[in-house]
Amino acid sequence: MFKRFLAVFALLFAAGAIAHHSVSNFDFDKSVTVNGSVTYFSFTNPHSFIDIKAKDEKGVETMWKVFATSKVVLQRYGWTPSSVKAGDVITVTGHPDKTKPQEMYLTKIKFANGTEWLRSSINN
Amino acid sequence: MRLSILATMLVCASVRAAPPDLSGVWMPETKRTEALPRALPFTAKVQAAVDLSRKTYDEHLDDAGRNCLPYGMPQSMLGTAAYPHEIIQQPDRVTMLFELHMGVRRIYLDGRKIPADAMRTRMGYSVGHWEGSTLVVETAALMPQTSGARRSERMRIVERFDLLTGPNEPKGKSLRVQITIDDPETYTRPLTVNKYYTYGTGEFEMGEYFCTEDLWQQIYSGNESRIPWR
Repeated sequence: MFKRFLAVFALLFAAGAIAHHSVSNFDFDKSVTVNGSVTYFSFTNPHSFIDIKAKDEKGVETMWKVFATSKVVLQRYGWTPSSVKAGDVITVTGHPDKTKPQEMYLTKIKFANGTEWLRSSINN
Repeated sequence: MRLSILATMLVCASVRAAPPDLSGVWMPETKRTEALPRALPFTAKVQAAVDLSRKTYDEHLDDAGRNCLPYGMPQSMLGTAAYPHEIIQQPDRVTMLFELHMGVRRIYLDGRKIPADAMRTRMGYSVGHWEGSTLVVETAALMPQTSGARRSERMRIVERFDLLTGPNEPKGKSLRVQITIDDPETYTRPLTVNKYYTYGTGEFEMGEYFCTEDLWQQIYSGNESRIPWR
């Protein structure tokens, strides 16, 4: 039942939702994937974010900030406060910020336990 | 003679017919839902203010949602796809609980009028009555707002709530709310949109949405630098 609801829910997102706050600073035409170690997880409203330490293409350690939708919506998708913890090695994909390339808006995450979570790429 | 008896019976039946029960959890549906026009018909005075704020807009400092500015009417009804609301219907009132910003609306159905001296609030003062199976709600006494969704003290909102049932409705029933916003100080003409909501009772539960609390929590825990717009 819940899974079916999520499927409907994903469609709702895909159809285009009005964000309760602006996400226009992210470039929705581009996508970036980063694999690294979590240093901080903010499970909050109006949106959540994950700080990740990862090596860039030159091998230099870089900090990434990955924004996601609000805690209340993520909870509905099955996230808990311990879904992401400091020290977890995770892979994230998202739309990069137009002016701050090391910030992104989450569209896909592979948690430390290997499970994946996807969301369609529109707003919130 | 027989016809007049039949007519009387029909009138009595329609008078006695209980209004539909709108109670339940409702999730905004994007398929049929209409949006306000992208270019809103602002009055010249408001358009000048909007142009100025666009010129100086800083998405990190000025975004209403990001700074946890709570919703009110009509914004709570215009809604966003991810956030449900719950309707509790009683004979003398309808209570609406919005997940986003934990908003509450009370719509009085006891025949009262909107008091002329009602205190101006974000949700305004709402009274409603049944026209057949349609709940008609009027809202006024709104607090002016000059950021986010703009409104003046003169804004009046009329909503028509209809329960749609049948095999074509997802989960057997949907809620349609026709919203007409009239604010001659903000808009050059009344704006009307139809919003649709999918029945969600039993599918999921309403969550708790505190916005500023999480921000303060981070400030108090010394994580001020983690707040993205600082």
